[in-house]
Amino acid sequence: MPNTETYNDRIVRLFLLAAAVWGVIGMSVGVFVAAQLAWPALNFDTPWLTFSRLRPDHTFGVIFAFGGSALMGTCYYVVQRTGHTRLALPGLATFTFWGWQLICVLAMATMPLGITQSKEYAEPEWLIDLLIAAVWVSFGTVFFATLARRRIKHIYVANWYYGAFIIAVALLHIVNNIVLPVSLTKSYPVYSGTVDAMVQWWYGHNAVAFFLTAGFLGMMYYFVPRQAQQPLWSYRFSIVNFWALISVYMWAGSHHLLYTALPDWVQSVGMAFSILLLMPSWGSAANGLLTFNGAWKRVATDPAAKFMVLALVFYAASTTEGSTMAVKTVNSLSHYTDWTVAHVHSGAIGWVAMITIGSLYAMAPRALGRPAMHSKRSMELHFWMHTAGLILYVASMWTAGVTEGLMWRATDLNGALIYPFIDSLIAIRPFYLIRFLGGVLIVGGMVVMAWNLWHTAADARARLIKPIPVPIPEPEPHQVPAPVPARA
Amino acid sequence: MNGVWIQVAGIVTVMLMLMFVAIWVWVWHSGHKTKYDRLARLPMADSGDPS
Amino acid sequence: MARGYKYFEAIEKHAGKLGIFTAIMVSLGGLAEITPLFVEAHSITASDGTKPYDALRLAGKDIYVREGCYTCHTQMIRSLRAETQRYGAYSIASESVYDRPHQWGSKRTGPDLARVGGKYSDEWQRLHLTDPRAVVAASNMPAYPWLAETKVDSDDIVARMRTLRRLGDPYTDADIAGAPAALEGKTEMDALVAYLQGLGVHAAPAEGTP
Repeated sequence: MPNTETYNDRIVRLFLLAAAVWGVIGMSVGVFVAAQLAWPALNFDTPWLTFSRLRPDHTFGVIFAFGGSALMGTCYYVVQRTGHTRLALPGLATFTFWGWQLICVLAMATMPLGITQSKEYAEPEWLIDLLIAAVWVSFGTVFFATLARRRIKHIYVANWYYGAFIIAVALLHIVNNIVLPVSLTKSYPVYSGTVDAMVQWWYGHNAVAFFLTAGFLGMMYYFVPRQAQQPLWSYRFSIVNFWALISVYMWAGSHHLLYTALPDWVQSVGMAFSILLLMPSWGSAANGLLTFNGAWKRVATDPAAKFMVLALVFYAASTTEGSTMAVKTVNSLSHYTDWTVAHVHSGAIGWVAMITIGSLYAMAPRALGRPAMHSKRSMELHFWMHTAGLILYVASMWTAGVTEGLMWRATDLNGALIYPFIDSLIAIRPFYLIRFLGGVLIVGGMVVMAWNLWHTAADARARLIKPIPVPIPEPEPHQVPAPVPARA
Repeated sequence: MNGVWIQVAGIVTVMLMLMFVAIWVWVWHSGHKTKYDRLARLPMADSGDPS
Repeated sequence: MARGYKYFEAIEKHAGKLGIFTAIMVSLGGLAEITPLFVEAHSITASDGTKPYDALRLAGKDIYVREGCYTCHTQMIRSLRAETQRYGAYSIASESVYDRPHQWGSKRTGPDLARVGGKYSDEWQRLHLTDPRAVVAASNMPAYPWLAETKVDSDDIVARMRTLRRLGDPYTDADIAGAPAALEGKTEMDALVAYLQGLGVHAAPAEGTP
């Protein structure tokens, strides 16, 4: 059979561009709101520039705009490569790109105007939620339709994680956002009080589980072996970890509500499953790290692999920290403090951002028709800026969090509280400054990456890219879809 | 939580544990070895120049 | 074993089956933890004096939601001694039955507000919201001066209360009919202060009992 089918990398390039742009925007908003915590006058008495309205722009911008674009782009890349097939439904795939970008722009424009549900990580109002659902279902359709026309009989494990990410996020998004609209810009959730809190943290926790963990593990399970140039340390272990991870994570959300008005048994279940979660988390991290075994020399010379290794180290570290913080005794100190912020960011900047950056550096030259990234030295620079920023951020916020926790509970010999609340804020002010500096370094690194990608994309911008042909395996009876010619 | 819930929780827990063991047995089944080895090499097929 | 293996393998070869099994596994946790709460939710009644928000306080609550106060303030006093000492009796489920969405929060850059009602004067609250550092020199709270300059939107309030009634909040026809009049001439600052001054005042159980 003549080989006339090529990979659809155009959609991958679009998402690559979007991820680079949203990364700079989302993290810049983060640096700005961090500065506002240190210098509160920076809202200039303007409603839409105020911390409480901009903070959702930072979380949405980095999680859904930057992370979402990177996940969808790599997902389309991986599902084609591991199935030896061209992406199905190209029109719908293009719709998922423009639809997702529209959602990100709409959400980030409306939230500072006060159009918000004020449910953490699910702030956009109901109209945008409907759009998200439509694009998400289309994304799932493209993904599963592509799986259906694959030429490799077994489904590679990275696709399992991408699939779970798509299915679970759809479920979470829909259940958490059931509301009764009042007008185009206001709605009330059908849940109230305790039930709303449980639904919200079931969503919030599992957005971390399936958006920020399962999705990025899909990325990891493809790009780590790809960059190490050797197979996964244990393929079978990755499958055990898959089933354990997806079934255990969903139970752990109530650890966000320890000692609250939530029924005690739900709190205990959440805590128990959070400790169980250590196993699949460590399993995945170990599997990724051990994949580099025997290829450590490559890590020393390849900045993309460096990002991946540190990402896996921070994945192991932040999941260990998370399970620890889900223990009631620790949680009584850590909850509501900046320790939570430190934990979230060691996961977000350490694990999520670094595995993404590593994967983008691995994927970009291939998708952009170049032998390598434009500048390897600027990749090295990015790695060290990101790492330094990450350490400043996590160390300062962890110290601030423990300080707050200890000051809030400190009592004198008579059992009376020692510190008024404001004293804890004065004590941590220097750490807010250090955190801001860390953030500046990280955004600086993202700008370096955007510059590097821009130059790597020179051929793409001049429309000189030759499509990459799909390697058609030896004919086997199960190879149902015959190769289709790519459109010129 | 009343008595019935506790019984259900116990049964579900035992079933989940059995499923967990079954998954281990499944993936370490010898019939999988060669297929998994071949699958695990998929990401490496993507490097190098297009030919 | 060989036959069993064949059945297991089907999951790995069929995207649809893999998807269905994945969906089942991810649903279990939520079903187990949320369904019983729904069942129990019917037995949580607002018995201890918690009433649905009157028109002005509801407008104030919606401003609290709009401004995103939950990003820095919790409304959930945990059953820990240090918290009940600082903020008052621990929060109970029946206190937030009319909170859509809940405002329990997750971060205390500022103090908990579950029982802030009556703790400061109305005048203090106004001054503090307009210029926090005029009252608390070291505060890092943003200033919200526009609240005092903006009139509460009284067009929407009837639709909002009707929607809440549809969701089960016991507003009477008289409550709803009187709502626009109650908001007449009020600023957003008036509404927000009324909301804050009502937080936790009527429902507090015995002081400081963990």
